Amino acid sequence: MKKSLHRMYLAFLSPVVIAFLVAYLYPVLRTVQMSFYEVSDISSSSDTWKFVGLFNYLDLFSRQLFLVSFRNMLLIFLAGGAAVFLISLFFAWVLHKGMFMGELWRNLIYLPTVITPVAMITVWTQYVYNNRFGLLKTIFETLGLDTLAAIPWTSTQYAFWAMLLAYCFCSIGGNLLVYMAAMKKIPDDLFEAAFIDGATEGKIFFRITLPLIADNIKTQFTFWTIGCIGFFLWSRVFSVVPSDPTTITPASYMYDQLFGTSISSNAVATSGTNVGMGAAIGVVLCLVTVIAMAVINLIFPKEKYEM
Amino acid sequence: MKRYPRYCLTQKSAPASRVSGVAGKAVHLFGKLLILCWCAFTVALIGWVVLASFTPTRDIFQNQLLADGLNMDGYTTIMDRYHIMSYFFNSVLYTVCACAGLILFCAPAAFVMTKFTFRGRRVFQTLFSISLGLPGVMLLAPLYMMLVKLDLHNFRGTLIIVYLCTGISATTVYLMGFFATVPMTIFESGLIDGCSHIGAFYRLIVPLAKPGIVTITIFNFIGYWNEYIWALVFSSKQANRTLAVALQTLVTSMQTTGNYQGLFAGVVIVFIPTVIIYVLLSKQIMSGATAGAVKG
Repeated sequence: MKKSLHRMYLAFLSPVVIAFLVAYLYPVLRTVQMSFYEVSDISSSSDTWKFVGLFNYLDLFSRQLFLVSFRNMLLIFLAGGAAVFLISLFFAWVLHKGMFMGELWRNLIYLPTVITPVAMITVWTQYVYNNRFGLLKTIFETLGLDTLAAIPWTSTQYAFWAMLLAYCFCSIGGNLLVYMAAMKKIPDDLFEAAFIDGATEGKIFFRITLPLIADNIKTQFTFWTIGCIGFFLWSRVFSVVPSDPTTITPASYMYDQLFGTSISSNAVATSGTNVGMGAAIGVVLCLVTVIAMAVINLIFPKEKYEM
Repeated sequence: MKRYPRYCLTQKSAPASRVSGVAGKAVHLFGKLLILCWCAFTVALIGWVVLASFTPTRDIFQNQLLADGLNMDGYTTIMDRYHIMSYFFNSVLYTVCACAGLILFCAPAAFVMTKFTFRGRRVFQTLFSISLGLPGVMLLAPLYMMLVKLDLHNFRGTLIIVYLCTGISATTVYLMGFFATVPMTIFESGLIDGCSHIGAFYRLIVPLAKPGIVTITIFNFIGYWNEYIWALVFSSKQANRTLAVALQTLVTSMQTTGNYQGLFAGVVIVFIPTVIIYVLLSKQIMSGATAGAVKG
């Protein structure tokens, strides 16, 4: 009996533990180590590395492009976050209150979430923002708003906001789904009692609904934060120019430092990469994650409500 | 017969769906209209792209879709000249292997980590949860260096190995939540009847855990089909590329040749599998996406 139990531990846990050590623990430690070394090329062997202490970090924070990428990340986090959370909470409230064929609308709003991001980005850049046959152009022209129709969305001036708009459009579905499910769990008597007492809809929402789904909002907010810190794909695919300062984020800047700016990693660029600094970006991003998690735990209320 | 107000007859949904106050009703109406506009936009977006893939580029520029009926040139071009189907099969191969492998390794581990107490259990659980928050790019450089050193970076199976190794924490954490709800009495009765621990897991627990396994597999499938970073780095040889990476090259070359029909045909081929899965399994996806909310 005891032997069979131990055999199960061994058989069931060892693959996962090995994979964890190889794919998580080792890379993290190695990245931290590399961030203190000068490593010019990703395929250079470790005896050519040169210890430089904190130089990579100092160098990093003196680079204009990194600061710009950091500012972009914060903007995505704040502006995008505000839009995504407000709209998805509002839509969840509307659909929770009931709407004709509500399920269909919910499924449609969620649909962009399952579509391959690369395809979704292509649709936005090549169709929606197209200045010849684009959807936005058509809509604004039909509405008679010619100045809006003439905006070159993918030009450097607007590219960041165009990217953010498209990203938020694809992020709302997931949040909406979670909030709707959470609202459905709230017992009807609470709404009933508030309704009979004559509470306005605003009061009901802020005093009953919001506190009772705060836990879910916290989880979604955590995901959003992690998503913003690792924001890579949209920034990289949206912009045709590699490491375009308008859409660059720390994660894509890090990628450029590791592999160079070419699309395919097959042609690993020998010039322009700075692997040690790339590793330093990774460490900075991890520290940002830790701080963000601590802050999230601080600002969200600890008390749990019984339903 | 006594007449009841309508909300009494459909009592389950009625009290929640009553909107209090005039302002509330106005806002609700506005919200409904906004949702309708939003959905119309989504339908226009996807519908237009699908129709555009059947329309010659010159008609796309005139915004006259399907003016000459169904035109398959876009699809034939990307299939014959860009070999999109071979990337398609690459993606299928990587995705299916990754999904199957993840279940094979993570389901037993998640079961042991939720249902048994052993030294180091808390450590494992915490480490796995923490690793969920790690930015993927953080792991990129050392993994790449390691695989280059092993001379595996041009090998077709490498991406599957990478998917398996980096996917374990998410799948295990999800399944841990699921196994917490599976009763252990049946497992214990199996042991008493003479099953080994491993045998009892496969014969008794796995059938019970099927719903959770199916749900996480759907999500893994969509996730790996859409995956980009790892595919970009670890399928560098052109023949090994996934559809998502190939699409990006396709888009760039279509833009230079001005073949917008082919471009949109490529987009449609990339998103069709996940959309079909979504339409067929939307119930399962909806319940899975809200699993966190229900657990609460």
